[in-house]
Amino acid sequence: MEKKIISATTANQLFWLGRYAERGYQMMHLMRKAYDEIMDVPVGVSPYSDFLDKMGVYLSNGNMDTSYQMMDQIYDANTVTSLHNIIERMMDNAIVLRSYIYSESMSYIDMCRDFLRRKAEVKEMNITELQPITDWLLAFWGSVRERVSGNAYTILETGRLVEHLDMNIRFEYKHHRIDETWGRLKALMTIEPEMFDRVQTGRFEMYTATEEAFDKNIKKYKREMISALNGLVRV
Amino acid sequence: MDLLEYRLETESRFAPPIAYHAFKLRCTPADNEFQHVLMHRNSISPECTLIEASDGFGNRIHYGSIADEHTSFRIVSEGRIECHHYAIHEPQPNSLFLFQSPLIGCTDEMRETARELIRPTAQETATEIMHWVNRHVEYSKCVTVNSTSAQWVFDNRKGVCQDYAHLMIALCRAAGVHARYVAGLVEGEGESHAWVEAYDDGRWTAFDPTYGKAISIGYVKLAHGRDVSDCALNRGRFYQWTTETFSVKSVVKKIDL
Amino acid sequence: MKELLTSRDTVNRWMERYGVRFGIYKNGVFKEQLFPFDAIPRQIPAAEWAMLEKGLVQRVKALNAFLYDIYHEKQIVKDGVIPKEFTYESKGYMPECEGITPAQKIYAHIAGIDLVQAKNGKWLILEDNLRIPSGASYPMIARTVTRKASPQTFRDTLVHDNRGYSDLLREMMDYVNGQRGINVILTPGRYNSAFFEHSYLAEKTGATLAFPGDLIVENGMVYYTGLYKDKVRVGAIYRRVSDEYLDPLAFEPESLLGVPNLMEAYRCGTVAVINALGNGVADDKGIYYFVPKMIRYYLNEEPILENAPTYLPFFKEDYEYILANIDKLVIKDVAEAGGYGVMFGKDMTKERLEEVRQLIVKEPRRWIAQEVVDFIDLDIIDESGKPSPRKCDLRAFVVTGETTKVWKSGLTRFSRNPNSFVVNSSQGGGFKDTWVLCE
Repeated sequence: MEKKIISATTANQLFWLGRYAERGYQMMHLMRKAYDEIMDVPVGVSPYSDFLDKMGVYLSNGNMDTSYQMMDQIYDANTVTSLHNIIERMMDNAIVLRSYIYSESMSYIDMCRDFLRRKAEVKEMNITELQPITDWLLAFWGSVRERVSGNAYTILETGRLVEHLDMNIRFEYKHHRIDETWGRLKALMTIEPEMFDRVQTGRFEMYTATEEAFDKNIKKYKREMISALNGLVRV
Repeated sequence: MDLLEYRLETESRFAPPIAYHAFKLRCTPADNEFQHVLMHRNSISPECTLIEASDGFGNRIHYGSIADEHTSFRIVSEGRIECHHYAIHEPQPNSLFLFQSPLIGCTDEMRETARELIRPTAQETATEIMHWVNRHVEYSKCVTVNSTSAQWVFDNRKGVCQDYAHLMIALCRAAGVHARYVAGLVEGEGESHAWVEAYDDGRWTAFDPTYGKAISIGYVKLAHGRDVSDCALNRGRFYQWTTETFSVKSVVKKIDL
Repeated sequence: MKELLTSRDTVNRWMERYGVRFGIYKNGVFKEQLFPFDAIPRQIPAAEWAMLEKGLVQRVKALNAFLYDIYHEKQIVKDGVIPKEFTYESKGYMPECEGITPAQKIYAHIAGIDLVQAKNGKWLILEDNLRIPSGASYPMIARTVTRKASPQTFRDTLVHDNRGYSDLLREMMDYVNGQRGINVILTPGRYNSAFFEHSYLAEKTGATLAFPGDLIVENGMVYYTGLYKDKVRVGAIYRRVSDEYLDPLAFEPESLLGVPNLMEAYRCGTVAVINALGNGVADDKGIYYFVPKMIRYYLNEEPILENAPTYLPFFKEDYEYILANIDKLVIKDVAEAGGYGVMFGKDMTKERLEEVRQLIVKEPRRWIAQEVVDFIDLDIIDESGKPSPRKCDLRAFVVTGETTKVWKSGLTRFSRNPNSFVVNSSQGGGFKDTWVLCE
């Protein structure tokens, strides 16, 4: 079969589908961690504040009950950083990509959305109930890997790795974790060099150059690195 | 026979500038029995490939697109024409020109008026209608727009050459006479002009309801159609927000043999 | 069959999973909803289908011949078989298409012909859809799902597989494309009511799904533009954008859905457009009356399938009949579609009947009248889980490429309410699969 040419709009949608699907998956993972940690938080300390802070949610004062904000982070579709919003955006992109990712891969995103919409009506606090979302997102990535090929796959995977890095940096992961993902992203650069911005690549490279400096300064580097990451891919 | 020299310049200015711009032009005279095109030239800026084709009515068109950013789009069409008495022979007219079209409809009142203007032949009926329109419509700029309908002109009795032509066509069709809209240029200096062709006995002849006279010589025909919507001289499509200022300049001169 | 009917939950789960939705606008807000599916199929025996197949092929051939004639010699009008009012005054007639000969002379590549079966078993044609008939994807996916839900049913009953519809489409697209470029399906976008179908058919045919803006015309050829100024030539466009929005330089100037100068590429024959432009002249409710005449005129054959009994107020004899019997007839506005502009005489008050009479007197060309056809009911399983009868029609899909073929299935639509005759999805109805039995 001929290589399918991909329009600018479609490339953009593939990239963002990759990013949103990865963000959804990472959020689930990090929320499970946050839920685990609050069991040990002393009384009087706002629960989830570390998670919310790293997700960029503005916390007005230390005393308020952050559980409400956490609920919004999961179920409120109008909160831009929420899981629900991410999954709606995921579907917005997936629905126009059916012929690239096929009905099978698409159905997992569709199921996530329908499931979360139903859950949003009851707003259960126990995050374990949302496990199917993680399962389906993993199934989505497996299905995509199995069925999507060529540049469509490369663009999706690029979106996935960019988002993976974005989340890892936000949550201050260690150098070796960042470097590993960055290495995989650079491998894609050799396949589709036109897709990547050289200046931003250099910028990102600079911050990750030495392990020691990175691990020490991650809080300081954070904003700059995320900005480099957001300018990295030209779709 | 006359020899005419014509020049048509249309220009669109864009602020802010636009990038992708596709266009379609009807600014080249057709070569036919009453106007023989001796030479013609189109110049366009910014420079781009012009492709010549014809539309569903057989008008000559040029189309193309410009990908680079530009602030103005200018076309000059100029040439020399050997001009004979205005008539186009056709054994059977397309019945399309008997029916309503996007901007030419008919009300009961208009039908009534048309009925009173019917004369023994189509030629005479068209002449009668032309005079009626010329007498009853007041020439006034800026009261009508490009998409003003014949019904509106009938009710308000005001307009420019396009509106005169639309009303005359509407009444002709209501009276059972095939009639079509013509866009072109007229001897002298000014903007583009519009008139009417009506069919009788194997041929189309032309009428100028704005000036209230049958047309013989001194007119350069660019396009015909059901109404003005089929005859746009310059139509463009772009997707950015901009303000467009459009200007047309036309010069037609008789030259001595 | 019993197994199929009891596996309703499985069926619904799979339908949802595949996103079998259609979009509707409610108070200006776009919403997607599941197209209600009823698992009891319409079954058509092999012999009956053979007759339908022949009749549909015949009809579509005549319609194609008519379209070619109308945009060229107009012999059928000159010969007085069809009055000129019914072509030139039709909203679907496009003078821009005069003289254009589409690739392989095909106009109605995909024809959706709506039929009903009268109580006496006879099939009648209700309407021809030659512009953008939609709905084929629903029975395709319903079959995929019901076969999963109830394998035994399909072992017991031999039914023609309907999932080859995408092959029919692809073969037709390849034929009119003639290896000049890629095949694309042009969609107006995801907020179109049939977007599901556009994306599903793109997936199944392997055609590229193009959005407005992805296509451009350069030097008289159409290109699909890729990332970083890549471009590839397009040989065939299965467009799901209606004629008037297809080229802003030829038609509706404000259209954002079209491709500027597509009309010029089409006119010089560098690209095939599926279906052709200007087909509306052959499928409005006024011209419908003349299709049996077209069959006799172009094919010199007797029509195999009949129209529902129809009267045209345009003709004096019919005019008088309609005015006298208006309380028994259905009155339809020729310019409307999708179940709008339909009035049943039996449901109208005396005053209303008089109003409608006046409408007909004023504009006889605008209306047609039909006898109310008492068509058969098919059972559906209603919300309480019990069988309940509904009026159903059948949209048959006829695909013309190198030859004309009828898809061995079709979309069976049913009305939402037991007493309603209106089966359009935009009016809240649902659908059934259509089984063409092997023997």
